[in-house]
Amino acid sequence: MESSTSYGNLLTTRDLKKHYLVGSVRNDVLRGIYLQINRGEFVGLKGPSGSGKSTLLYQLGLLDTPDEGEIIFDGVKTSLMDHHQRQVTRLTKMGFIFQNYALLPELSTLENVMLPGLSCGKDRSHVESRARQIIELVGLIGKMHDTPDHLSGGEQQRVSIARSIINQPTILFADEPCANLDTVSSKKVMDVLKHLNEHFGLTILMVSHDLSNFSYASRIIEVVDGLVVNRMK
Amino acid sequence: MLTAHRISASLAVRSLQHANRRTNFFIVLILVLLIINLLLLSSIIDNIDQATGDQIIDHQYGHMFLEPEESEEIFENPQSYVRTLRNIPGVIGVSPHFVVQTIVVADQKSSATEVHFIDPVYEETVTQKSRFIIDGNYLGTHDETGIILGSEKAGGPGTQFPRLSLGGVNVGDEVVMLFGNDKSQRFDVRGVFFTKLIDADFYIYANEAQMASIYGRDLSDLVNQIVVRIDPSLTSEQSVIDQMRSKGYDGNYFITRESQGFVLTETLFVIKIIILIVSLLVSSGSLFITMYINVFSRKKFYGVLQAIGVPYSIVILSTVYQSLFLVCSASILAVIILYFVLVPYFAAYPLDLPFAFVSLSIDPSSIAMSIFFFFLLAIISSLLPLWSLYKNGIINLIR
Repeated sequence: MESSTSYGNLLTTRDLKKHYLVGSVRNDVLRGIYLQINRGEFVGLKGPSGSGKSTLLYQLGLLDTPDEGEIIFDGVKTSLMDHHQRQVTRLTKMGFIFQNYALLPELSTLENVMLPGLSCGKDRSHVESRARQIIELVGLIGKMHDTPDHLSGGEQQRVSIARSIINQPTILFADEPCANLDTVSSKKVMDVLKHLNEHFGLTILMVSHDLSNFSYASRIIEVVDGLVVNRMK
Repeated sequence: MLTAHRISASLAVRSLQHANRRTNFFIVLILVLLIINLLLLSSIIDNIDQATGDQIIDHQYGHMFLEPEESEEIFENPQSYVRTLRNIPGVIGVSPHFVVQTIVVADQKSSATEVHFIDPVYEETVTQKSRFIIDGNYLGTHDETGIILGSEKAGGPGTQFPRLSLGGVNVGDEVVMLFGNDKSQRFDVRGVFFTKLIDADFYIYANEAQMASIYGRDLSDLVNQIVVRIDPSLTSEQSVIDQMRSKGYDGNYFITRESQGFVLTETLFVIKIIILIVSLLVSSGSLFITMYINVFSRKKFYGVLQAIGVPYSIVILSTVYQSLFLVCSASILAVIILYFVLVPYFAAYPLDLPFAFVSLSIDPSSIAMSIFFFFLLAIISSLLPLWSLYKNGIINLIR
């Protein structure tokens, strides 16, 4: 991977609001979020259950659409993007790590990692060579052809990390990346994330319950009841 | 675009490999049953129609028949008609008939009926009564007093219309026929035939040799019907008619399949359409439900693809390829079952219907149409649930 050394504002939100209806009951999950994330930061997003941190992550990652407010990503207002532009942005500029790994069970480690690269239309041999390098980077060189059901939780999460960076994204969104992992696996995953941030300048926004994970972050944002209540270095 | 196809095909193959084999097997099995259902019923109906037509051709009129113009009762110079017909390439049999209404008196009862005076040798080249004699023999060439009659006209046990029969005449019995010119003639029953075609089984055939004693003329100049058999691979009925007319031979020409049994044909056509519509609806519904379940059972797969930004075109193509693979497998299996199981089975054990034995022959174009329909339906029925899934939003899919 090449290191990204450009700094400055990458992601900004203004008065971001989102509500869900549970039956006829309105649940305001985000009630006006203002935040800014700079390039190269490792930002931890903390807060109690139901505070809206995962919902916020989904809005920022263009997996969902806010009701009100604005997200400006890499200088572009996401509200002006159509479905195709959002899809292309997710594919080329964003990486995602989910709590449940979200790997395709039918594909091997190598195929899972290669899929976003091939989907960009890149040359197959180039994508494969890069995927092999990244899999080596996350320590899974021996598991190249294993399908997810033959991998441990920690290994699956590292495959997920490898897949998320195949297209050299600008930002990596991690939603509770260690929630289902034991301490040793959690540490390995967090070490990989830290390595990506420090050595390659990858911007990371991580939601977590586990306070120990925030020791890896350069900044912590706390969300309570759908509002940012605290920004800590 | 080629890359997109390759990724989609690869994803489809991987999905099929990873999916539960039993699930795939049952999906294919359902599709096989739907395809067979769609083809089998309509084919049986087509074959009933075909078999009825064949029966009329084989036992009554040949492929086509001629009658004199409305204003004439008999053909003028019938030998010329017969000779000309025989010289047309593709015509394999021509038999002149003299058909008259008679009263036939047997021991038990009498009955009005049609008698066909024929030349037994010529008749064998057109109809197949000689092969359906169930008692006695076919008419001999020199058997002047012999007749053969259908089982319904003969009567006896198993007769469907006993009131119209002669009450049970047997081979060797004597009957008397009363003709319109006040002449009467004794005949000996030589044989009884049973064709399963109720109309034909009421016929009586007599040797033309007796005509001279009744009418003073024979089939060389007293003919009011000419039945013709052709080889359909060499010519068509219409072609024969056109050639005859072009040579100045007027008359009423009838193509048997078009003029006889058309009520049944029309009825069967209506039934076939109704069955086809119902089958199509059932097939569409079943296929849609099958594909819907197949797509919805993999909603997380589609959610992940969407979340990581895989283009919709790849997702759609991957789904289409999977559906096409399933339909393709089912189509191949259905064709194998149809051609190597059902068609041979029906050939060995044809359906024994009251008027004919019906086997199963399936028109390849019907198979092609059905498979094309299923391909189309499979694509639609897998894309609709996919569209419905995507409306749910990515978050709902990957959770």
